Amino acid sequence: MTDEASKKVQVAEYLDIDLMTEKWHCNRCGHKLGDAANNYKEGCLIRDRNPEEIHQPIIEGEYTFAPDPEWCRIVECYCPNCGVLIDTEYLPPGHPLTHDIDIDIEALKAKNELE
Amino acid sequence: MSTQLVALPEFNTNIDDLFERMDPEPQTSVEEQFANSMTDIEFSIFRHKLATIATEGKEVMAKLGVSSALRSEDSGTGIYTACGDMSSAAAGVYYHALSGQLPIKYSLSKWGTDDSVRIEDGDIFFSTDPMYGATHTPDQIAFMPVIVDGTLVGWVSAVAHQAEVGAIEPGLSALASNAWSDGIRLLPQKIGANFELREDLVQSIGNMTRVPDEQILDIKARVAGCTRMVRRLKELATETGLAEFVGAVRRCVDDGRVQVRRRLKEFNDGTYRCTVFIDGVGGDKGLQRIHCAITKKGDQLTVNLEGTSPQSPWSFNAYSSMPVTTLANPFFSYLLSDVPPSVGLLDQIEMKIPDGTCLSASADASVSCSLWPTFLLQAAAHCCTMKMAFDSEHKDKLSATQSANSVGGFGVGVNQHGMMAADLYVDPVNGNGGGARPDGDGVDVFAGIWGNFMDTNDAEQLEIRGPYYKLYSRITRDGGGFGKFRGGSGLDTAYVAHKVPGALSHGTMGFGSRFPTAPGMFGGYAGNTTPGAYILGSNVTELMRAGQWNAPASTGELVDQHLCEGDYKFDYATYPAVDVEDGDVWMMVGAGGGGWGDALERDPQQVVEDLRAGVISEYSASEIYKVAFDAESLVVDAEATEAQRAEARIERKAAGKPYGEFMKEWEQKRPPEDALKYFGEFPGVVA
Repeated sequence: MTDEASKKVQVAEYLDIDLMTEKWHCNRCGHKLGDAANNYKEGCLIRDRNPEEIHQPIIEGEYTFAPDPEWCRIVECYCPNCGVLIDTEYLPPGHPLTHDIDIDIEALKAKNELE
Repeated sequence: MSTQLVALPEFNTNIDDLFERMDPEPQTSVEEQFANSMTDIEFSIFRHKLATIATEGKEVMAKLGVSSALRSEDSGTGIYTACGDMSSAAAGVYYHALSGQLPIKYSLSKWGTDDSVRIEDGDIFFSTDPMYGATHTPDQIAFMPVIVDGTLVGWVSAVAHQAEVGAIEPGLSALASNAWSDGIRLLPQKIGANFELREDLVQSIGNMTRVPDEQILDIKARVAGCTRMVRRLKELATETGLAEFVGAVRRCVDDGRVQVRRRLKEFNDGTYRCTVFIDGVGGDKGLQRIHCAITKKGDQLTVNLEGTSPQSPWSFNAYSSMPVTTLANPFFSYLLSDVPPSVGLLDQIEMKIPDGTCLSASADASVSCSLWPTFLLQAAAHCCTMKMAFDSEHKDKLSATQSANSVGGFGVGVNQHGMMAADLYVDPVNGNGGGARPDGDGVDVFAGIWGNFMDTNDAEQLEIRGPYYKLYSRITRDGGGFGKFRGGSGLDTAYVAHKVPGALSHGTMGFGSRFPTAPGMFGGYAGNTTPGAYILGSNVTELMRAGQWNAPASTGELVDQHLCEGDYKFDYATYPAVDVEDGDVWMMVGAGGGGWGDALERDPQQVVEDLRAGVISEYSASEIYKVAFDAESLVVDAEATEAQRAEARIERKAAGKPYGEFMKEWEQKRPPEDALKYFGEFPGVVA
């Protein structure tokens, strides 16, 4: 999956790592998202969404067939340039965002024979 | 003449020892000497024969058993080395076979040297103790040694879920609050010899449950499965030679170790994390966190669960032998689905679990619903491993996770034939939606998260066995997580109590009513939430008799439009058992798998096809997927769709905030206190 011209490796559906600069990039538009040593979410636009906007309630009351917005929020991460939805997390309000992809850059370079 | 056994160290029940017993034992001298006595082709044929024998044993058990779960593949059979390491399996549910290692190793270390018990050809062993392999008391295991000419050459097991186990509630007990509330807990023990069951012991086990006949029949079904496997393996061992047989059975395990190391090296080194939440603990509601951090370096994996919530005072707990077995599904059914299953495939995993979590509960804790937190762990581990494997040649083996939550039900009571009967209505649980894949949608009505091969119940068989009929079965609308490829939707179904001759106790088991459990992958959304729902005193049967019943397209439509009279009730997915009467309806909505990718990248034509099939709603087509279409013909307006999607992306950028600004506001937020009763420190520290 290495793009020889830019030395980018696609490591997730919408995420590349440039092995030369060690930066995250949006796979769709190439926008730089920050240091690959850090959480790519730090380079994204983040939005706290009421889950009922996505999962429609059917009835009113304690159990609506939708997630409870007091217990559960959807945290969406967008590419600041093209607006692609890079990640969704379902979290209790205030819960830390997950550093879900924390790749060993040196090992990735070695795998792609850049060292 | 006493049997020649392998000697295993004494069995302890502390966490470290339980982990170690899931690892392969050191090779015996015979295993080492005869490891390569077969050519590669001979070994390949031999291993295929083992898989066929395991499958035959599973089918024998299913044909003879009576429990609905047993017949719908909530089962597994395993073949083991003489030391008790799993070398082949048939599923059903792989971890049923995998967890068989513990009671076998326990018996070897405990009873093999005890002259009052001993282990001989034809002995039949049985266990229901969750500390020794049964994942919870319903997952009962029969196991037998394979002894030829006085030499132990292997073991077999047959495991299946039992609908009723004598807990403080019928069926599973969500309200159980300690180990002694969970129902029968039998240490691994001998219940038969010389291929014959001890009828007094079997009757006694049956007597510990509310439905003795089913318990007894299903013990016999498990033992029949074992007996068939023992016979076949003896024939095979005689054909190959005993030492060659022992070496080849062990080679299955060691080949698995080689294969997993080779596969792991192909994935990117790093740490992959996922955090998921369960919204109840059994007797109460509240959030518990399951945190999974998987670090992969070279050919080694470390699974760290630090940050997982504490053990609860109710039944949503598991013992520490469970977590490693739950990795069987992501490994055996996905990442290594092209490699024959054996415990060798899990050999490279180091587990780090703090004491006292809901996944490492103390011995006196109830684990009646142990599967619930472990399903969540499985969902989290699935997400981590799939992200780990994305940049590899194995993309065809990836998917978002199938859902962990659902609503299953059980009924225990006198049936229309005047017999005590117990059954699980496992259709929505076994029929959860599959996770979306990198190149396609998840499968609708796929399987439970714990076993990709499970089936939904046969409706006619359930109606014959219980005083109820099925009202409808649908694919859940908007059940699958939305995405470029959507998660499969689960099964949406309902039952009506009919001609109930006496007391019929009905309850449910499930979770995920407030918080979904199938995270999406790479921008995909999660599957649906699943509350409990029932109608007391409905007039559905009368409407049918009058020809006035219009079957709903979904449970949502039934409850939204009140299509029948009655007292509509909505509750948590696990609600306490209630006595039902004629006309009562219980609805069970299955959960969908996670979506994959950005919903705005979904082919608009696929969106309207889903709409036409009733799998998604108009709201989802318009508001989630942003597809413009003619309401009557469902013809897509491609230009308008592209314009709507472009506008949606602009809206996203306007609504999203830079990370620092977002976190400043986000960190001030907190769930209500009643949601955090069982959470532990919020937010606390995770690995």
